[in-house]
Amino acid sequence: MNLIRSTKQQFQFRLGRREKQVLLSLLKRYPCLPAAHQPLSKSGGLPGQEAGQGLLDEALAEQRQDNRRRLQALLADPGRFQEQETGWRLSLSPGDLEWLLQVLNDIRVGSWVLLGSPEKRLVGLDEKTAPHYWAMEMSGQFQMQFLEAMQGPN
Amino acid sequence: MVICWNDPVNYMEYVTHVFQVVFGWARQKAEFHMLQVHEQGQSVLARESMEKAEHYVHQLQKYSLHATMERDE
Repeated sequence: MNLIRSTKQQFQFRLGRREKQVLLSLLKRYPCLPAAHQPLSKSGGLPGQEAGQGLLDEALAEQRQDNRRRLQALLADPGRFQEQETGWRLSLSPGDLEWLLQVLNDIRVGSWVLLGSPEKRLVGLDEKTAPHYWAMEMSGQFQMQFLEAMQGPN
Repeated sequence: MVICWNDPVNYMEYVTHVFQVVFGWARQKAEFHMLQVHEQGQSVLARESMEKAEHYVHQLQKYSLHATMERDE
C-alpha cells in the first residue's frame, strides 16, 4: 500500500488486489477485543469506582457499536475503493484515518489477547493461533502505513 | 492520576500519536511519556479531577491503550 496523494481533506492510497483483500479480511474481524476488557483502575479504592467502571464499559460498548456501523457503511461505500489498472485506490478523510487506526488497533490488541497476551514473540504457531498472529501482524502493518501517511514527509 | 502502562503489543509510534491526539501535546512531550511507559513500565499522564481523569482514561482505552486512573498518594 502506498500513499499517492494527501490534502487537508483527503488521503488517497494505492493498494494491490491482494492488499485490498487482506485489509477487508482484517476489518471483518472487528471487534476483537473482549468487552469489558479494561479496568478503570488497577489498585481500586476510588470513590464511586463501581459506577465509574459501569459507565466506562457502557461507553466503550456504545463506541464499539458505532464503529461497527461506521465500518459497515465504509465497506459498502462504492466511492471508497476505486478500481484501477493495477489494483485499487482507497480514499479516506483525515477523520476516517484516525478512526481506522483505532479499529485496526482493536484488531491488533484483541488478536494478541486471543493469543494469550504473550510477553515475547510467539514461536511454534498452530492452526488455532496462526490466524490471530496473522491478524495482529497485518493490522500493525496497516497502522504503521497510516501513521506514516498522517505524519507526512519528515 | 491517569497512568498508561507498558505492554508488548502497542507500537511506540502509535502510543506517541495517541498521546498527541488525546492530550493535544507536541510530539516531543508525547514521545517523552511514551518512552517513560516503554522504559519504566508506566507514565503518569495527568493529575486531574475524577471526572476529567475518567474522560482521559476513556479516550485512551478507545485507542486500546492500557490506561487506568489511580489515587494520587
